[in-house]
Amino acid sequence: MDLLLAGFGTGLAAIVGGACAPRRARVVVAGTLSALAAFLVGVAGVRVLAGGAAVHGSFSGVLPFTTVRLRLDALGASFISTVALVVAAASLFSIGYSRGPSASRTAVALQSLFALALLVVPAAGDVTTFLTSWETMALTSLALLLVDHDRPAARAAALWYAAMTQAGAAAITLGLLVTSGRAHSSSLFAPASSHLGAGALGAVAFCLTAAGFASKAGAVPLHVWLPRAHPEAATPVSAMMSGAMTALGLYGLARVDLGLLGGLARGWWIGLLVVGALSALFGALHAVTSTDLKRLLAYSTIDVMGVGLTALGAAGALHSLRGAAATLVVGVLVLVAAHGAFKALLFLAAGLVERASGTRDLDLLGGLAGGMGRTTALVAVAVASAVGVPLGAGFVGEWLVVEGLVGALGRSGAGGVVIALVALVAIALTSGLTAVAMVKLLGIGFLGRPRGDGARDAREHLGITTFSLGLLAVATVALGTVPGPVVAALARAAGVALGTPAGAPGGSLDTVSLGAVATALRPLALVTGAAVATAVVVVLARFGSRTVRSAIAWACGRADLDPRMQYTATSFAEPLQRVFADVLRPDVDLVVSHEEESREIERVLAYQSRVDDAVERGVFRPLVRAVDAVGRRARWIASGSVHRHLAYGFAVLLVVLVVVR
Amino acid sequence: MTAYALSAVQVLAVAVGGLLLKGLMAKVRARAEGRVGAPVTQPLREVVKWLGRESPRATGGTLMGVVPVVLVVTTALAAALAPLAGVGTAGAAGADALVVVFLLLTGSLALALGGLATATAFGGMGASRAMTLSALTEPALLVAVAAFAVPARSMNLASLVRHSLAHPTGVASPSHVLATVALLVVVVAETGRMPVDNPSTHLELTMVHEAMVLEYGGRDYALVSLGESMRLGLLLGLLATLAVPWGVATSDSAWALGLGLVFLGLKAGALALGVALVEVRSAKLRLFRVPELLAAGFVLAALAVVVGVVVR
Repeated sequence: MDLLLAGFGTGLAAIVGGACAPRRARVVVAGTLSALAAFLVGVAGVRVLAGGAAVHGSFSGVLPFTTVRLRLDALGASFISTVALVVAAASLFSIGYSRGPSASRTAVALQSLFALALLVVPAAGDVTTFLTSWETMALTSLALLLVDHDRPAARAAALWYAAMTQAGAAAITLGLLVTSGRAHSSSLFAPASSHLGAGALGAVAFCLTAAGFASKAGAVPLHVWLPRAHPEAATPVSAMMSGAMTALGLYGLARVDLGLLGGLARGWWIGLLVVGALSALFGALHAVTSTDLKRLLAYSTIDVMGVGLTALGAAGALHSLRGAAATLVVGVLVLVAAHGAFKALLFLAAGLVERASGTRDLDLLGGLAGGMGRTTALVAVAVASAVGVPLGAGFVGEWLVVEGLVGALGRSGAGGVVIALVALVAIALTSGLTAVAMVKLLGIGFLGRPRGDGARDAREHLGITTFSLGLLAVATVALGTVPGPVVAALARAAGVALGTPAGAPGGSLDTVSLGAVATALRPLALVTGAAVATAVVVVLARFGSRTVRSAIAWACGRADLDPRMQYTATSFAEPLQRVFADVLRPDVDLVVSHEEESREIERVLAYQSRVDDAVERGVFRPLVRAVDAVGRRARWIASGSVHRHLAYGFAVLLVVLVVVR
Repeated sequence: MTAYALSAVQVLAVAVGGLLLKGLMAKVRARAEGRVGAPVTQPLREVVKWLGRESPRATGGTLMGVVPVVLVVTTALAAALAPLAGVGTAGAAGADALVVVFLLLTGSLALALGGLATATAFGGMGASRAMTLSALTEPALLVAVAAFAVPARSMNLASLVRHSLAHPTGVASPSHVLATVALLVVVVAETGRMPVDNPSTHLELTMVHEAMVLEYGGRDYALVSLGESMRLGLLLGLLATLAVPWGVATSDSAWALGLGLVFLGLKAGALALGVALVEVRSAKLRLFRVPELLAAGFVLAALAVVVGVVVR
């Protein structure tokens, strides 16, 4: 507890430092203190995960009218460790990165407050503390979006975000009120055999909380804010939003819906699974077609969180199959940790690229490997983890999830088979699409030749920004190569969420083994094998020719290669865009103008392809229009006449009297 | 020790055997078209010849040296893990089907990145097409593997093969047959054979796979070519092992392992013969018709899972 409190205290100091320190020192003081706070909280989390008892404490007088209750068990600790890693890296990054509007007194203090709120959420012990920290997190991130309010895109994003996040918070508040009303307790930590999820009220509580939490995790169709808000925020803030805040949506689902609402009808979990599967596919498809670097990353966040939601839904629906459910939940926890690390890295790198080249349009980038070699290498590590290369962190999570589903296939009835199969198919297709998006990100954005002047002149400056990227890369590789101890610790967290540790996967230094299915993952053996195989191949190849000559590209005989002849992000994604045209509904314009002399000779060909968010266009635009129309019609209510407003007051008073009696 | 020896032998068998299978398939095609054709050992000789040549490297220089090594190493690792000649390979406890699948995927990713790094139109085109097909193959592949895994209740390839050796009637079950056909479709797509891709085309515009590797030359190309044929050998061998597991050695004796190796060669050879004969009789599909083929493979795989669970 002391460590946790020290961390939170340091976080408060960071806010004060950000608000009071002189202009020059502001960013350094706040960034260092925030990183230190995250480090302390992270150590506290790791200690709980490593087998320490859950820590708790309550403090009155911190907030008016209520007592602040903190409690950190294994489940909270698993999330707090991920959040701490992301916050630490993003805070260090902002020391070398923040300038202009995002280095103002308000922005720096707000960013520290946002970081602190992220750290408090998984440690909240009761409903009030949870909601307070949750709302602080939502509001500070909203205010941080508005830091750069001169840009219309940022203002629009903030509007969408404000509406969605407040609706979500309202749903969560109502859901938690229903739950704690039924339980006669405001604790978030129920005894193992609670039946709060049974009956109609349980279903209502589930729907409200799941909708709120899932919208934070970017579930379709409540995701529309995410691809707008994440790219428009300042880079360290986008990293924290994407790597940590979305993960807390899954935390809420694991803590409240899986842990608290026992006895819920299976159909609701299947609903969550379907929503998750749709989100995963939707996010992955849009990530494939996006040409904006940060937008691509935001959609890929929806994709990973969708896989997490699918797995959580399957775990809830297959709750009776202990081994499968536990494997799935551990898989989600690993996925969250892996995603936190690699997505924060990618967002931070995207910020560096944008600053160095002046653009984040993939169609204008390319060839960054030349001027920004180390950034490219670090991005490659993150990409490897994201696509599930064995020895990357993402693979471990995906492996656990797939094993959980395959394990369920063999042991459940017809319903269970359909559930597991649907989830498996969605995850498989998502994984394939993710690979395309990530190859596009790395191959088009960083390899090849520069497609614009900005990309050609981009140079990297080594310093604390590169260091924080490296920190995340090390975390990714460590989780990927030595996942055993992590999985063993996370198995306890899954036990907390499911109410029993039975059948959970286990791990030692070099092996991850499953409780329910006879198979294992041995990454260190793979490392050894890869080292031996590489040595053999390199030695054997040296028996052949050693001459390497640098030459111009052959390109089927064309010598005057132009960078514009390369594939672009748009053309790279074109085949898949065509295959999935019915889902994506792209707007394609082809304008041909001809030479004066002859219709046979084309002068200019202009091709333009745009993929808009179908959900935004089909659901939210009409909704916004309808609300707008109602608002316009209702304008006569507020006509400005004092008499009418007095009459309103009288009428309301009467209603209140009748209701209250 | 036997385990390591078995793994080494398997890698060697896949390396040499893959090249021979490639030669065999070319030979079958030539004979079916009424030509004599090059000897079966032709691909092997070519790789040895290219290994001795200098490697010209265009833009993306260092990456073009790394990609072939990654391709060969990941395929070799998969060949060392998988139960091809015997189940007791080194690291058999970690020989999960998913690990093998994602090791192969790593090789494909490396090739695609190499294609984009060359900064030529054809490199990008090949990478784009190959990644598209690989994304659409993935569901069929994973579900087909899951169908094989359901009866054994394990994704571990070694225990999977052991289980189906212990229950020989399972090989004739409808689920097993469906999964085999689905996996065959996947193998054809993953190795870039007809009707998905034409490995012997010289027309760049229709290329999928070859377009990515146009810029490699000399030793680099030798490794790429070796890696690709290893992939062919591994996938055909793995398909043969999963479909008809007989002959795979379960004991450590040298005799059993030798016999396993012979059986592996025969099964993979027969399979290659079949694929080659189908190739001769089919035309390449239009690129945008390939997803339909892959979807058919996926439906078969999903059917295999459902049938496997219901008919138990």
